[in-house]
Amino acid sequence: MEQLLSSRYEQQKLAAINQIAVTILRSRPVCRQFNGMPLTGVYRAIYLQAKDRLIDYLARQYDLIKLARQSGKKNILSLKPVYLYEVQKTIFSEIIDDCYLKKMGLAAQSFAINSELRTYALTELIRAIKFSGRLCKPHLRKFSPQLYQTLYEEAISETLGYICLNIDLYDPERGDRKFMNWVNFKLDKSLLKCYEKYHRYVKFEISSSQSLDRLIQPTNTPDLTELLREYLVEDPQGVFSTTHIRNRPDATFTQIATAKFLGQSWEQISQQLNIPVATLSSFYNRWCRRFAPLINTELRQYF
Amino acid sequence: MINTQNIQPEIFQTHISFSAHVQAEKFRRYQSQAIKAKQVYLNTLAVYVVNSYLNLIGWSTNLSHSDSWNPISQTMMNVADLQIPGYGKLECRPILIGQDTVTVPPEVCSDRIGYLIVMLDLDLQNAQLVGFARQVDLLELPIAQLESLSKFPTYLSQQKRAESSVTADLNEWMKGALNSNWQQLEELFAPTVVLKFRSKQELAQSPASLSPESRVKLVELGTPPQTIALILGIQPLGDREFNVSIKVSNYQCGQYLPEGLELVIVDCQSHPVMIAQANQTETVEFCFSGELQEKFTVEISLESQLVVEKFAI
Repeated sequence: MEQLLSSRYEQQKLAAINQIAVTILRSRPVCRQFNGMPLTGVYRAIYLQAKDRLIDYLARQYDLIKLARQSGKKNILSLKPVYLYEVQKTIFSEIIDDCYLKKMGLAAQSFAINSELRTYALTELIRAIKFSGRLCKPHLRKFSPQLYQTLYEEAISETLGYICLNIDLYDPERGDRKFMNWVNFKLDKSLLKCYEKYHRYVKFEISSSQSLDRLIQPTNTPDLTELLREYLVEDPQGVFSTTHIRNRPDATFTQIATAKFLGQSWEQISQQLNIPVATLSSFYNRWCRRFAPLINTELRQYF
Repeated sequence: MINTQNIQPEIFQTHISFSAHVQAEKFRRYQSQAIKAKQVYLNTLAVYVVNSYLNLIGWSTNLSHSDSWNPISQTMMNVADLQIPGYGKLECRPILIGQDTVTVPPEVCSDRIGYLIVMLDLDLQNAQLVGFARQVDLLELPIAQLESLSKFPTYLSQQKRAESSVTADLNEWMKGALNSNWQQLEELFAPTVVLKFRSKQELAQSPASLSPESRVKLVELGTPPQTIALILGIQPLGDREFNVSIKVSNYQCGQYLPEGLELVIVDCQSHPVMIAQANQTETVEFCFSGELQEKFTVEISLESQLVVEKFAI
């Protein structure tokens, strides 16, 4: 009888712990559901393994709390949501190994380019890569910590972008059959490339929105607005001044463009010409697009 | 501290990279007016961030073919577009943190598959995609009315364009090849109408091998939509030279074309070479001669609507 009671108690305890684990896992960082559909394949495998670990962890905590109660301790550790979230993050980072990453990479390959499922699979893959802690830190000692931070962030973003765009190039047989060898190889090269770029443009100031208000144009580059204005007024082919809004020979492309270049708003131009903004802007738009190749050819030497 | 990025996957946050600033600075240097220079800088950052986001969900883009990446177009328009091959242009509008509406310039209100809004912090160190709009009816768009970014990938994958930009091979037409997009005149018009296009005399004079080949395509333009017939005729003049005629008329016999409809012929260098506008006209027609393998494009536009057809002789 006593055995039966305790077994029923044990079952209830397990059910409760299971329920808590499922609840915690609702805010899991990876292997989330796609459009509310049940998890399948590698995502389900990772989820189930994480759930088992979380249940183990919760059971151990339960025992600790019970012991503490029995020994009359008042200072019982309480498990706050933020703490539990960290616990689950640790569990995922422990579970996600190269084998899982490889399976996630292959899963992404299996979905059509530009499909929702591919988007889902790549998003999960990128998160998993970050959680796995398996991204290397190449050339760490070559640079100062501050510079390294800048280069590393840049290289990571380049690398992950490359991985997602080129997932179809991933060959599971290469790179010692390790998925992360493929990623880290690219990361290593990216970092050096980022340094080259950084070195070349180190004189460029990184602007903030406030500093942009104060900056003036350097004198060694041409002012395109002025060049364009001159070119449109000169109109060597005679096309800009003959293209006008219907029934309004005075509202030419040249006229509207130069008004824009002077910094006038659509509303101002609209009032001056007595033509609605929508008519003006759609005319201007259309012809900007049509004239763009011509203007680009003519002014190519300046940019 | 719980990282909100992990709990709300619909928000995309990112550090704005050094490369993004380098690119923005390069473009900014072409501008001498402070307002324009700042606009170009922020637009560039916004496009850069959206490009990174799209790449991270596996979408390839064509930055170099985007107006936002062309200093001339940046000068002419307040533009922050990003070309997605096979889908269209996505507009990436920047806003600074604290703003609760996005200003959408009229020059980017058309020809877009959507509008993604990029919120930049004042130091321009971090960016966040705050949502998107499918189209814009107002030039001031409240942030609160944007759709969640989580719906964006689904929306985007539905925007795949029907491949209308296929080049029609006119030489194949003359050999009698049929094309699903273009119908033979007889299929659409009653015989009497057909005779108007090919007079009996014409038919009698030209030997069978030199007879003109005409095909028609119907397009819908205007509000309310009107059916417009685009008729293309080609006739050999010699071995390598051909007469081409392009005619646009209202499908409803005797009706005027919509006011302001434009017909533009664009040559192989993308330069507009023939332009006409309908003003109380039933038909607009262009005739020119071209050589074998020469390419040209026909554009019909009405206000912000545009139909583009590509041809090769």
